[in-house]
Amino acid sequence: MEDLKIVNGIVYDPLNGIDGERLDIHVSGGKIAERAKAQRVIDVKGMVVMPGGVDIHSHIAGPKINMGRRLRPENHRTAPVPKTDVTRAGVGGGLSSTFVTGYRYAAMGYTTVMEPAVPPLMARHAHEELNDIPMVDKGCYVLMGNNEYIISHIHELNKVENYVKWLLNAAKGYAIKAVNPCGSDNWKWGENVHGLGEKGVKFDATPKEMITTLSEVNKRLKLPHPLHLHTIDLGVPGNYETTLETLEMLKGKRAHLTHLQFNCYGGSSWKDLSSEAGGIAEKVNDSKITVDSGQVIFGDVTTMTADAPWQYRLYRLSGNKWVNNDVEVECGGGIVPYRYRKKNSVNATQWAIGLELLLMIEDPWRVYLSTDNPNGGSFTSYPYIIKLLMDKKFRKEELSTLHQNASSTSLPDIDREYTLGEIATITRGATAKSLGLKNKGHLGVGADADIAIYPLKEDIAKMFSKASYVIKDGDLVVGKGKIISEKYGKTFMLDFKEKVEPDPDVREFFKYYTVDIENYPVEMAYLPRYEAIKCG
Amino acid sequence: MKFEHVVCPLCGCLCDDLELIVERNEVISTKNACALSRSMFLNLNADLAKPLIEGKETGIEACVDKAIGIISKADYPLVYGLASTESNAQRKAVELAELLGGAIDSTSSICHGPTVLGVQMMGEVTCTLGTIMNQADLVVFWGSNPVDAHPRHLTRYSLTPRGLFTPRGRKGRRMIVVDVRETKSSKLADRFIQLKPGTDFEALSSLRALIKGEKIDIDPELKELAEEMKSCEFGALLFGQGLTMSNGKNMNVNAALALVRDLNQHTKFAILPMRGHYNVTGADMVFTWQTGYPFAIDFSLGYPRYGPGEFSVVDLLSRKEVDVALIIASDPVSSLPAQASSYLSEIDTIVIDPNRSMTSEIARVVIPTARAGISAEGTAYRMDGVPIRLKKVLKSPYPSDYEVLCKIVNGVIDGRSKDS
Amino acid sequence: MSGPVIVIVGFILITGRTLRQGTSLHLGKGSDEYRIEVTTVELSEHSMKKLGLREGDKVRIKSAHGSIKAICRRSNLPSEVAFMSCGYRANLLIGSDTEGTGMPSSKGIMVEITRETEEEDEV
Repeated sequence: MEDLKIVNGIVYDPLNGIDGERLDIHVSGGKIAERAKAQRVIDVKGMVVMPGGVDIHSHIAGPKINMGRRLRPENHRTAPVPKTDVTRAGVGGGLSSTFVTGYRYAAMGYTTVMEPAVPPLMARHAHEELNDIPMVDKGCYVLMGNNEYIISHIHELNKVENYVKWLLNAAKGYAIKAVNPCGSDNWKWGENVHGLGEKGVKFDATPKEMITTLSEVNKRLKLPHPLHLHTIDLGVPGNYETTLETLEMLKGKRAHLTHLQFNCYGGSSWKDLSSEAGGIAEKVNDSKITVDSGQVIFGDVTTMTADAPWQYRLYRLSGNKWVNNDVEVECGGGIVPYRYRKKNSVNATQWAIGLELLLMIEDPWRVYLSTDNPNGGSFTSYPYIIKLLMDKKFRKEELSTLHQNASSTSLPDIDREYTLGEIATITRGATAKSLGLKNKGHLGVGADADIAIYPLKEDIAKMFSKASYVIKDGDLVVGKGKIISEKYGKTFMLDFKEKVEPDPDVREFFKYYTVDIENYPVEMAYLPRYEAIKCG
Repeated sequence: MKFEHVVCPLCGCLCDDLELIVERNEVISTKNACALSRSMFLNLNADLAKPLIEGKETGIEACVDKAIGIISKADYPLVYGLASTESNAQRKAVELAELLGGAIDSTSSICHGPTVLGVQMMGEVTCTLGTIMNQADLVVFWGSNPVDAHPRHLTRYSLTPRGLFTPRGRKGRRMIVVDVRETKSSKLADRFIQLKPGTDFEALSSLRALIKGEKIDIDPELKELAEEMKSCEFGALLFGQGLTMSNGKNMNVNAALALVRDLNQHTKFAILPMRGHYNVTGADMVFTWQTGYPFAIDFSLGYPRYGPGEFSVVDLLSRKEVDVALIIASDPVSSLPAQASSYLSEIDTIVIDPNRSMTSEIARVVIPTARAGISAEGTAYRMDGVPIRLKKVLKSPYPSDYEVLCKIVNGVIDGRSKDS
Repeated sequence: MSGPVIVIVGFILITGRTLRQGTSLHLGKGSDEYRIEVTTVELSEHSMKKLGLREGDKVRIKSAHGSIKAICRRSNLPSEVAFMSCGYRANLLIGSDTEGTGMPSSKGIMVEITRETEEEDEV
C-alpha cells in the first residue's frame, strides 16, 4: 500500500458535487487523503476519473448461480479464459466463474458488487464463493419474503423484528431481500400469488403484509439499505397495475424496487404486451422509492431468480431446460436459459422499457443501472447501456433494428442524454449512498481509495468497458487497461449494537429444518476480511 | 470431554446432531451415530497412515518435499479424489491442477457423474431434504438402498420424521422401492417393484408416457405406480447408483429427470441423487464455481476444459495418459476397475490421506494428514447442497489436507522461480 | 463318459454398498471382516442348487475383463442375478470402458460363475 497521486484527470464525484473538474486525487494508507507524500504519480491527462463502480444488484455468488454454472457447460465452452501470470483461469460467458467475475468487474472499473439473493440456509456457500471473487468488495442480501417463520408470525412485529435481526446476523447478510413475497412459498404447493391481498395456500399471510412488515422491520432495525424488493407478478403481461399498487403501498416509506423493467408491462397477453414505464416512472418520481432498471440485452442469457413460479412459466414458454429448487422453510428458486431476440415483439419492448425507466425517472439518485445479471444480460453489458443513455443517436439507431413494437413505447420521443456526472451517479454515487456505504462511491477525503480512470473515447461503450487504471484500496490493480495485480476485497456485514440471540420461538421452529440451530449461523471464518456497518 | 452438534464426515446425509465423548484424544462413545458412523468414530486410529517414501517411514517434511519434487517434474499429472475432504482443500487442489496444467477429477465421475450429465441436458426439479421432511407424502427410492448406504436418511429426512405439513410422520407417507433385487430398504417399503436388470430406462420412460396420458401396454405395477406418483401431494424420487452405474448411465438419469419434470404438471415432485461421500457434492460445487465445470477437468491448455470420458479418472488411467497421480482423501485402487487402477502402480502415485488405503500401499509417497471433520475444520456440502461447517474434535500430529496442498503449491511455485 | 460335470451359469452381476462393507471398512481394508465381505457373492437358492453349491463354498466368477474367486452366500435374488459388495475384488471384473461418460459399467455385468474345484488356500 503506497501513497499515490493521480494528477490531471477530469473528476466526476457526484456525492461531493464535482462534475468534470480537473483535480488531483491523493491516496494514502488505502484511503483518499488530503495530501499524500506520493512516491508514485500517475498522470491521467485527458482521462475521466470516477469513484470505483458500485453494483447494487448482480447475481454472482451462491447456490443459484452455481447451479446455473453447472447447468450450462455449453455456455462456458464459448468463453474459455486462460490464466496469466497475474490472474487465474476460468470461464466467461454469461455465467462467469468466480475469478473471472472479479477480473471482469475490475476491467470495467467496478470495485464493489452486491449479491442480491441468498437463502440463509445456504449463506455459507455464498460467502465461500464471494471469497473466491477477487478485486471487489462485496456483500449479500438475505431472502426473507417467503420465510415460513416470518409468514407464520406475520402479525407479531416484535417477533419478526428479532428474527430478522438474528437471521441477518446468522447469514452475515447486508440487507433484507424479498422476492415474489409469499408467491414462492405458495409454489411449494405448485401455486403462486396473483394479488397483493391474496392469502397463501397453507398460510394466511398476504404479499402486502409481508412487504409492509419487512419494510417496517427494516426501519426499526435502522438498516443501511432499504427493503430490496422483487415484487409479485414479475414478467407477466398487465403487471403494471400490481406495480402501481406496490408503489402506492410503499408511499412515504423507504424501499428499493429491483429490476423494475420486468414489472412495467401493459396488455393482457404476450401478443399485446406494451410498455407502462411512463406511468410507473411518474409514480416513482412522486415518491421516495429507489429502483434499478433490469435492462435486457439481446442474446443468450441464463435467467435465475427466487421467483420459482415465474421460472416455471418461463420454462413452459421456452421449452428450455429448467432447474427448480424448493429450499426448506425459506424460499424457492428456478433457472431457465433464455435468448432475447431483437425481432421478438416482447423482447424488443422489454429492451425499450428498461431505457424508458432510466430516462424518464428524473432523479439519477433514485434510478440505478442494472441488468439483474445474468437475467437481463451480463454485467459486461453495462458500457453498452451507458452508451445508449448518453448517445441518443446510437439509441435511435439500435431501436430501428428491433421489432416495431419497441417503437410504440415512448422511447423514440425521448431526447434526453445522460451526462458523465449522471452516469457516475447511477453507477456509483447513488448506489453507494443507497447502500449506506459512507466510504464508497465518492472521492472525498476518508473514502476508500477505490478509483476508476477511463480513457476519454468517442465510443462511450469502449471507454467504459476498459478502464485504463483502477485503484482498489489504494493499490493499483489495473494499469494501461490490464490487470496488473490481483487482490481480494472485503465483505460487508451488519453491526448490531447488542448481541443477537434467537427467540425461543425460533428455536422451536428449527424442528422444521434439517440442520441444528447451533450449526446454522455462518461463522466468522467465512469473512476473512470484513467491515461491519453500524445499524442506526 | 463432550462434543455436541458434531457433523458426521462420512456419507451424503451429513448428519449434524452427533454427540461424542472424547477421552485422551480418542472417541470412546457416540450418540445419534448410525452403524457406519459409529464404526468410523470408534476406529479412527485403526489404520492411520504413516509418512512413507517408497514404503520406508520417514518424516512428513521429507515426504512433502519428495512430493513437490515429483509433481514439479510431471508432464501431465492427475489430481484426484477430494470427496472426503473439506472445501478449502478442494480449492487448493484446483489451484494446483491449474498451476501444473494437469487434470483434476473427483469421485463424482464414478458415482453421480452421470447425474450431472443428465442435469446438464435436462435441468432438474429438486428440493432440499427438509422440504421432503415437511411436505412429502410419497417417497420413491429407485436403484438406491438407503438402509445400507445412508442409514439415517429414512429417519432424519425422508420417511419417518414429522414435518411442518406431515404431522403423521411415517403413517402419512408411502414408500416405494424400485430395484433389481430385494434389499433391506425394499423390505421396509409399502410397495416393492422388482425390475429386470438393465430395464430402468424403459420403466422410467414408460412411466413418463403414462404421466403424459399415453395409452401403452405395460406391466400393471408400473401403471399403478404412475397413478400414485400423479396423485400424491408432494413426491420425491431419490435415486442411486442403480441408475448411474447400470447400462444407460446418464440416459437413465435423463429419463428420471424428465419424468419428475413432467410430473410437475400434475403435482409437486422433486428428484434428488443419493450422493455417497459426505463432500462429493462440495467437490462439484467448488470445481464449478472456480472453473465452470463440476468434474473431469483439464488445464493443459491454460484454461479449464470439461471432458467426461476424456479427463475423467478411469479414462485417463486406463489409457495411461498421466505420468503422476496425486490422490487426495480417496482410495482408487479399491474403488476403480482394476484395468484403470493398476496403472497407479506403474507411475508415481502420491497419496494424501489420514488413513492407510489400498492406494497408499502402492504409492511412491504417502503423506498422512489430519482428517477433515475429525481433526480439521472446513465446509462440507450435503447431498442436497446444504453447506455445513465440519468440526474439529481430535488433535492430530499431522497438517490438514489443505495445509499440505498449500505447501505443495508453494513448493512448485518456488521451484519454478528458482529455475527461471 | 467320466469326470465331474462342470456347470457354468451366466449371471448379471450387480455390485453395491452393504452395511457390513461400510462398517468393516473402518477397521481397515486389510481387516478380515472387510476382506470377507468384499469377496462374497450372493446367489439365489435356485442358482446355488444349479451350481451344486452350499453356503460358504468357493466359486469362480469370470467376466470379459477378469476372473476372481469368491465365497458364496444365499440370498433372496432373482435367479439370473448375482450380487457382490463393491470393492477391490468386484473391480477385477469391471471393465474400464466408460462409453464417454467417465463412469465404468459397474452394475449389470455379464459374468459366468462356476464352482471352484481346485484345492486352494484362502480366497
